[in-house]
Amino acid sequence: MVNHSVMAAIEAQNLTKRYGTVTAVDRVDLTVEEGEIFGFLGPNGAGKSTMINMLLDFARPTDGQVEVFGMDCQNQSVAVRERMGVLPEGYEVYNPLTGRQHIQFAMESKRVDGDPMDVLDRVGIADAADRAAGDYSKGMAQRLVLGMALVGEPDLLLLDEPTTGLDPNGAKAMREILTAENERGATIFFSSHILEQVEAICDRVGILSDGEVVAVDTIQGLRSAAKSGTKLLIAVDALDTVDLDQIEAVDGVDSAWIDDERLAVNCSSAAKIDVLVALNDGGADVFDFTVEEPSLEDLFVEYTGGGPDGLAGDRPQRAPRAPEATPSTGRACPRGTGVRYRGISSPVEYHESGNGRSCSVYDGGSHARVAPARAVARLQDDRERA
Amino acid sequence: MLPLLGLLLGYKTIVSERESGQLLLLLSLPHSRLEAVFGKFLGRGGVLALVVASGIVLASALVAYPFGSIQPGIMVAYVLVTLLYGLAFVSIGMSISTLTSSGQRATAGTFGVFFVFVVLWTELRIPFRIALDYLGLASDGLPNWALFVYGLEPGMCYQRIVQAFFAGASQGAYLGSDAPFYLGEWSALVVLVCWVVVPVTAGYRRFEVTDL
Repeated sequence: MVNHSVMAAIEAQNLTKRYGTVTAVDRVDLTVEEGEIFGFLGPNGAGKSTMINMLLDFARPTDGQVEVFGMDCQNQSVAVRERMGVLPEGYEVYNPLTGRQHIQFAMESKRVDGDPMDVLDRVGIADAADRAAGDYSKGMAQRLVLGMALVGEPDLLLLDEPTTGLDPNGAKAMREILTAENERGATIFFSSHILEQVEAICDRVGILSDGEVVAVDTIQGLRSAAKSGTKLLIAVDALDTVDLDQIEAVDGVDSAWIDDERLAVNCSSAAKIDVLVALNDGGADVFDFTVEEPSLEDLFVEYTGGGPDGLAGDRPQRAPRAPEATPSTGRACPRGTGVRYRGISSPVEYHESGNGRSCSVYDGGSHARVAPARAVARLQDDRERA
Repeated sequence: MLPLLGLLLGYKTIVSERESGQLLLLLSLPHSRLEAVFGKFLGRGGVLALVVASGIVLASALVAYPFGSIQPGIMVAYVLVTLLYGLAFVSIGMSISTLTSSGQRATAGTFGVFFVFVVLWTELRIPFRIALDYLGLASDGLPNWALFVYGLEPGMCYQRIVQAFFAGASQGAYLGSDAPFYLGEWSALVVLVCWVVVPVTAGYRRFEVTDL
């Protein structure tokens, strides 16, 4: 057993699983700290479920090992699962038993007392407590099993594609529950192939591609690490006063050019304000600018070399983003209220997109999907650094 | 009847839950695979015990009524031995259930066991003797070791136990006074107990190391 000064919730070392000649999980080293919300992201078939199955001892590693709270997931599987709440994938509920009986069973298994109705109430299926769970819809079954996972205040919640079968309201309720559980002190590890979910609540994200962990970072960290940096489109009072060489000399700037009566700059996310400051110093008056951040989807494509559905085979060449490009989600983004930042004479506009959950930093058609709070926080962070 | 009931009680236990995914739900909770397998074995065994005991009690009540008498000790012993016989097939059924990952294969395997042990076995004695004869291993009837092998089948064991302990038989190739001990009723009892213990244990040991 490995000793740690601060015990990790999950610690995988060289974890490998081969099925015949297929390597489902390939030498994964991964540490999830206690108290984190960790999103495990990857296309279908990337090995997410295999990884989770090894945590649960459903599958045995070919090589390497994985520990939960310092306990080996294979040799001490029951002890590990005593501290876990699990929402597995591909389960089926016990047909004739009611929802209440399911929760009762989980309570007996984990040896905790309590009223099953409290749990059912929390996951929003209290009114179906005494119906046979076999008649539940997929979404209700998912809520029921989430309820079973919550029994006994587990230290680690392990969720495999938790929003499968949930409608948007259900997904929102799921996120709220996970956030509350995290505030209680639980570590949360969940897999998903849906970017918005991960983006909305995760502290850190691991991207899995073909069985390998290709990146582990915060979403912001992934953004700034991605080669496809940020694109700034800046409207200035007089373009001819702008010295492109001077802009390109700014740290973190890749290239600068004139695009459709505006100044276009490819740069790292952190260099945005520096560019504006440089323009200001050069005597140009900035009266509007828009930011195109790479969306998580773009990052995903960059890291995995395919689409989030795992359909695209070859690594796509990233076309330069055109301002009039349609949003990748296909939803129209109604233009919202502009927000003016103190000290910057240009309005940064953002608006909520159609589903009301993710937001865009306004960029005139194409958009970077980020939560509004994150967008604001990031811009303010950048400003402080500048 | 009893072999069929035992097999039917056993053969779906694990494989159907594995196929549907209920097993994942069960094993997501802090239960070991040992608990899953032997818990089900005990549960199915309990159902079988209920059926066997009530069947025998009812039958003997009908036979004894109105003038006969019932000896509780013998009846309990008879129920236990019969239960062992049934449990042997629950155990075989469960071993099939733990060793296969598809319900269809489990059904096929169960049918195979039933066919060989229950339908075919009594017909096998003569071909068995002819084969050994042909190989020059037997001349006049089956040698003792061949009788032992032939008598390993749970039904054969049960038959010998019932004949010897409850019907007082002491004749024939197995129970006659000149037959060796390993063909006798006590050996049959041991073999029958092995049929209860070994298949489900072997199935569990294999199941314990498979990926679900």
